[in-house]
Amino acid sequence: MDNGIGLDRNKVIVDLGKLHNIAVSGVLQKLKEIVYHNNVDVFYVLAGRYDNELHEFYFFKKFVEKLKGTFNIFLMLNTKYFPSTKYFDSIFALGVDALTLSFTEKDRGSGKFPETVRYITSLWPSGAVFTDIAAGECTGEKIKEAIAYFSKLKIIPRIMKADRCDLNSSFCLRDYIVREMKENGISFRWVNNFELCGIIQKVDGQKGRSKRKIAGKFAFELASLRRKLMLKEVESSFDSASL
Amino acid sequence: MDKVVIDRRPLYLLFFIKYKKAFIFVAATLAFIAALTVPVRGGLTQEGYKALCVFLYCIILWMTNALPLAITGLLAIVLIPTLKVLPGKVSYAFFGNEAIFFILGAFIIAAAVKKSGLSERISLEILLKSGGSKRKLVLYLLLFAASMSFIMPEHAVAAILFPVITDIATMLKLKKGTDNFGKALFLALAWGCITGGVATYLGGARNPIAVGLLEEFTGESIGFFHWMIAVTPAVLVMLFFAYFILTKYFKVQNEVIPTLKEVVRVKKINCGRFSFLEAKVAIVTVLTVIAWVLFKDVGIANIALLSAITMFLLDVISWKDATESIDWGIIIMYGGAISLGSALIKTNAVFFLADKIMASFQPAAFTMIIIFIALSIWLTEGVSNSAVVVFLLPVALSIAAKYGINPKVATLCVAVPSGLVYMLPTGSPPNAICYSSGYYSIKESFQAGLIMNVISIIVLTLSVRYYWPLIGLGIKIK
Repeated sequence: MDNGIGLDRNKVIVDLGKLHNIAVSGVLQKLKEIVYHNNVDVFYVLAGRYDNELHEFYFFKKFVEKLKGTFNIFLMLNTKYFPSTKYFDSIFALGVDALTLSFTEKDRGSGKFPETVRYITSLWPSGAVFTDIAAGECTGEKIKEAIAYFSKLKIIPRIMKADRCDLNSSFCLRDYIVREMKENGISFRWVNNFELCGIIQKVDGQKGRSKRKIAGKFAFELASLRRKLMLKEVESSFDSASL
Repeated sequence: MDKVVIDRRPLYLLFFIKYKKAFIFVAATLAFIAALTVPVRGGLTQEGYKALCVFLYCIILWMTNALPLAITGLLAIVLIPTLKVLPGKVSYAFFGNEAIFFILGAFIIAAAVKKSGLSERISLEILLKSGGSKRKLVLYLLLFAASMSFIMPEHAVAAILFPVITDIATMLKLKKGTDNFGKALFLALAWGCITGGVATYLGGARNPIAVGLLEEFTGESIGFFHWMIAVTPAVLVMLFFAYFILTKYFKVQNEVIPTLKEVVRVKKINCGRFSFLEAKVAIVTVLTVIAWVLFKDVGIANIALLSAITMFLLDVISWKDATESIDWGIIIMYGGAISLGSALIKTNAVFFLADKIMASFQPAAFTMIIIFIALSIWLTEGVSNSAVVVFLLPVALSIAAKYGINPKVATLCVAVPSGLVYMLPTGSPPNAICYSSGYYSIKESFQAGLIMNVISIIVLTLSVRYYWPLIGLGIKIK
C-alpha cells in the first residue's frame, strides 16, 4: 500500500490521500494492470483528506468519474460523515455503490444526525452503507450497544479487531450483527464482499461461489439502474421536442 | 460541488417514466406482429394490409417518439421490402425523391448564411430600426423572425436570434418568470419563426416533403412562388394577431428602452464591417430565391443544390461546416416517410382507408377542409410537425381524391397548419428553444397560444374559402 494502491484478495484498495498529486490517468493505468492480472470484485476507495481542501474533492470527483467510466466494478467509498445531504447526493450521483462512513462522537451528538443518516441510507440501496467499529478494549457489551444503534439506523457495523482481542472466541459478534441486520430489515446482498468481523462472511452460506457471484452481479446492475432512475436529467425535458 | 437533483418518487414510477418509450415500443411491436397474423378481409390485398400495418406502426412510433424519428424512418424503409409489400429496389428508390435533395440543399444554404454572419447583422439592423420602443421591438421581432423564416429553416432562425434576444433581456435586467416584456419577447421570437416558417418551402422541411408526397400521389406540384402567394397573406394576418395578443396578454407598454441602442451598437461592433463573405452569401441567396420563382422548370431541388455547390465554390463554407448543419435525421425520416406513403398508394391501402373513413362520416367538402386544418393544428401541438404531415397527408390526399377536392388545397391545408405550434414547446424546435429561456411558463404559452390556434384556423379557413380560388386554388377540381 506504499504507493496508495493495494490488493487484498478480490478487493483493490485505493488510498486517495496518497494519490492526489498523481495524474488520474496514471492511477487508472495501474488499476487496469491489477484488474487484468487479478480477479477483482471491489474497489475500496479511501477518500483521504479532500474534505478539508476543495481541490482534493475535485481530484476525487474526477477520479471516481474516470473509474466508473473505465470499469464496471463495485465501488465502495470510505469517507468521513458530513452533516450535508448535498455532499452525499454528489457522491451518489458519481456512481459510488456503497459507503463506509466514519463518525465522531460530535457527529453522533448532533440533533440532525439521525435525520441525515436516514437520508443517506435511503439514498443507497439497503445494506450498502457500512461503518467501522473499533473493538478497542474488547468490551463486548459496549460493542453490542453500538451494533444495535447503527443497525437501527440501517447501517451495517463492521468490527475492526484489535490485535490482542479474540472476539470470535469470546462472543459471537458476527451472529449478533447478522441477527440485528435481520431484525432491522437490512439486506445482506453486499455483505459477502466485505469483512464483518475480520473474516470474509458467507451469510448465505448455502449458495455456491458462482451462484453468489451471479447474484452479486445482478444486485450490482439493479443498484446501478436504481441510481440512474433517481438522478434527474435536464436533457430529458427536450426529448419531446425531438431536439 | 455540482448541483445534483435526486428524484425521491417511488422507484416503480421512476422506472415507468424513464422507460415509457421502451414500454410503448414493445407494446406497439407486439400489436404490430399480432396484426400481421390476422387474415385480410374486405377487399384489401395482402400487400395493402401489410402496408397499412407498417403505416399504423410507424405512426405510433412517430407520435410517441418511442424511437428517434429518423430510426422509425429507417424501420419503415426496412419493413416494406422485408414484408414483401414492395420489392427492395422500388422501396429504396423512393429515397431519391426530389424533396429529399431539396432539403439537403436548403440545409447547406442555411449553414452558409449563418456562418457568414449575415443573418446576425440583419437581425441587429432590424432591432436598431425598432428605435428602442417595447411594442415596436415585439412587432419588429415577429416580422423579422417571420421574414427570415421565409428563406431559412425556422429552427435556424430561432437559434440565430435567441442569443441576441437573451442579451437584450439580460442588459434590460428582465426577470425570468415574472417580467411580462421578457415573456412577450421570447414568445414573439418563437411565434415569428413558426408563423413565417409556413410561408415558403424553406421555412421547414415538412413543406417540401408535403409537395413530394403530393407529386407521388397525383403527379401534380405546387411551385415555390405559388405556395408563397397562397400562404403569405394568411401569415401576415396571423402575425398581426400575434402582435395584438402578445402586447395585450402580456400588457406590453409603449415605452422606450434607453439601453437597447447601446446593446445593439456593441454587438454590431463585434460583428465587424460588412464583409466580402457576407456579400457573396447575400448575392447567391437572392439569386436562388429569384431562380425558384422564375425557373420552375429547372426544379427546386436542382436550384437548391446548385446554390449549395456555389457556396462551396465561392469558399463560403467547407464540407465540415455543412455536415454540422445538415440534419441527417430529418433527411432519413423523410426518406422513410416517402417510401411508406408510396407503398400505401401502390398497394391501394390508403384509398381503402379513405373509403372506410368516408363510409362512417360524410361531411361536405368544405367541412372536410376545415377538419384537415383543425386536426393538423391540434395534432402538431403534441406531435412533431413533420410527423403530422407524414401520416396525415396521405390519408387527406386519398380522401380529397374521393371528394373531388383539389389535392393542392388538401396539401396546403395539412402542411401549413402543421407548422403552427403556438401552445406547447413540443412539436417545434423554435418553441422548445424559446421555452428554454425560462422567461415564460407552459401555462402562459398555452393560454396565449390557444387563442392563436383558434385564430389560425379561422384565418386559414377564410383563405381557403375566399382567397385561394382567386389564385387558381379552388376547393373542388374543375
